[in-house]
Amino acid sequence: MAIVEAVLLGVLLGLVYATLSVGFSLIWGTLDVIHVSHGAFAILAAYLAYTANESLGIDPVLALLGIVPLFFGLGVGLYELLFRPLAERAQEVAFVSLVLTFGLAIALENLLVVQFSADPRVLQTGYTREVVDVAGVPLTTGRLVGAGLAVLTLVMVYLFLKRTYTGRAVLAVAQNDQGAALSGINERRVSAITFGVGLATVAIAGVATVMFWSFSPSEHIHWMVFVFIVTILGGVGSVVGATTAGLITGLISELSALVVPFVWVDFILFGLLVGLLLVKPEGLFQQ
Amino acid sequence: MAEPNKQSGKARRRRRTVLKTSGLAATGFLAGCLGSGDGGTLTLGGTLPLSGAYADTAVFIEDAYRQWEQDVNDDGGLLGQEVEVIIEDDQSEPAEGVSKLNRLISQEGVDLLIGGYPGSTAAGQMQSADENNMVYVSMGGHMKSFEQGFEYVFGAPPLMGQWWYDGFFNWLEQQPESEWPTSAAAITVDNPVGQAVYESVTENLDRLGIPFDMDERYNLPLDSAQGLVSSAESEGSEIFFANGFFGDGVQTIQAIHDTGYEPKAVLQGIGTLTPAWEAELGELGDYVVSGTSMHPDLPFEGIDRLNEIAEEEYNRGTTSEYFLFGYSWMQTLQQGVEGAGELDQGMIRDWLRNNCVETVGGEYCFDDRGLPDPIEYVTQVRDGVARLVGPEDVATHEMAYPWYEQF
Repeated sequence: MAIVEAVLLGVLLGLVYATLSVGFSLIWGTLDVIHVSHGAFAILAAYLAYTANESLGIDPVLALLGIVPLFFGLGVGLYELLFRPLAERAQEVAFVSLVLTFGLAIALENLLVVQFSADPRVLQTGYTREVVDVAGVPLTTGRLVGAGLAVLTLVMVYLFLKRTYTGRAVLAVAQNDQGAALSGINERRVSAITFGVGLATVAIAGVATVMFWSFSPSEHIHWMVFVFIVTILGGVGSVVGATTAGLITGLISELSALVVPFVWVDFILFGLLVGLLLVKPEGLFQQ
Repeated sequence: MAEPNKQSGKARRRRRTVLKTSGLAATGFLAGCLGSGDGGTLTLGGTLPLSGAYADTAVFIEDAYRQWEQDVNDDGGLLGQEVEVIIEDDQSEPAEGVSKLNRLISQEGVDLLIGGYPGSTAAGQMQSADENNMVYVSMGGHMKSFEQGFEYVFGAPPLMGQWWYDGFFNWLEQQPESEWPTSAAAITVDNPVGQAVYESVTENLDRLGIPFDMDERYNLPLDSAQGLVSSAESEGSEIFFANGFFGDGVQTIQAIHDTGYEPKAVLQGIGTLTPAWEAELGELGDYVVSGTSMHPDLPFEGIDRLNEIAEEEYNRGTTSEYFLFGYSWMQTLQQGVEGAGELDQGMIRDWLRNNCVETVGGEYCFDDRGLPDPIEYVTQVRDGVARLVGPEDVATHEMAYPWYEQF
């Protein structure tokens, strides 16, 4: 029973990790932007959903109908205002973007503290605390809904990239931006859309994540640890990689606790990451 | 949802203090050269995490410092002089707190120091204060920080993890042995706070002869508590210690309910006394036990007044423990200064070592380490509020035990 529980919990957790990471991975892989404020935007989305729930009585999942388009627009705007000029001027876009978005993350965190206070919050609806029995393991409906959001997001992003013209254009830019431009792809438009999609996915991830954990403005730093692990493990720019690495991370976190002292779980996780990078430095599914 | 921290009275005082502080900073060096007591204002300086991870609770301590400043000035000042409290933001970074404190001492030339928060910052600042031979009253950084041989530091009260569960175990010891838990499970955050609280667990379990079934450490963030809780349940552990913070505590308490685990007692390290526990968990967090060094229901002089002020000025039902901590530290410093009769740090130190102080937290008489006698208050959450359930002379409620019969 302990193994079944660990597997189920690991899968649910892994899906959340994957959804938190997929947008980050996409942005990094396509635009060479290391978006360290990714987690802060997830927290922002969580606060918006929390506020909609507490103040307006709008279910957080329904609130996403407004939050996701907002974040997509925000992503496009950020790309045009910040990252496109950066890409045109900086020689080392990745490094500069890392520093820039770190500052953006801190600024956003402080903005959230001013607006919402630093008090930790717990997202609760009429169903988040209901417990259902899945193969003999008690799981809350909140976690199942969060995992469901995660699955939907990962599938939609995958289908977008593989089955739509714009999505395939995103992949083309990620592989060779100059080649893509020569093929008639509007690289600027595609890049803006990529950033928008990245932020749209993190909005969903933010709501999904707080179905599992409490949150506060400073929590984004913790979330980014998992985002980096999953992205590097899965391979930058790969949706399948992010999904697989997320699940691996979640399963290792839960299963290893059955055989080693819990405090060693992170050691095992990072050990695996280092070991993998030595063998396959590009990650499992590098595009 | 927590109330926004926007109060017109507080905003006015903050603006006034910013203006005063700006002017003071501009002439700070000169004022320092003039020496203490010659000007009309005594400056008290320190840092608090006004931003970052600890800002949610530090805001109450800041309120306390401002309230004390107002109270003292309304009462004629300290040694006949108006007091000015300068609080700099250390951004929840201990190194930043130490650096800014050093600057306040050496460049701003503040007359007195105020205690920092949380314990990690206070521990670093204790060393700075002692090196500069300045009295420092704060929560400290648990037992280790008070055993460094410092001469100028005082905990009034301290926030002492090593004392955290003493009150609960003293209560348990009074119960028939047949009702004691037969074994224990503990999950502990792997940092100095967790370690300090854990020491209270192990010492008391050893004393009562209760063995561990499960004893796990974890690093933050705790991504999933359910596996750990299930493990404790499968072992049949009858008492569960969640020696962590709010976020991990929430997960743990939720997991205990989700899995149907029924221990006789659930004890939480940090978190039950923060407003967020009440606001965000509601009934789910009920009957969880914790320790504290301070509580708004304590029967000591001044607490009722501060509770009224909290409701009227800060729009809170009662004042928070953190507010009372801050106010008590300032009262202690004030009595030390008044007792010494001057701003000589050595004389203030000696007076505090040789005399007791009376604050909103009660009477504190300090030993060579700067610590009062162990404080063994016990709290238990009832209807979302942490109530005093021990010791008998301060309890406002009876301990509800065992935990599983309360739901």
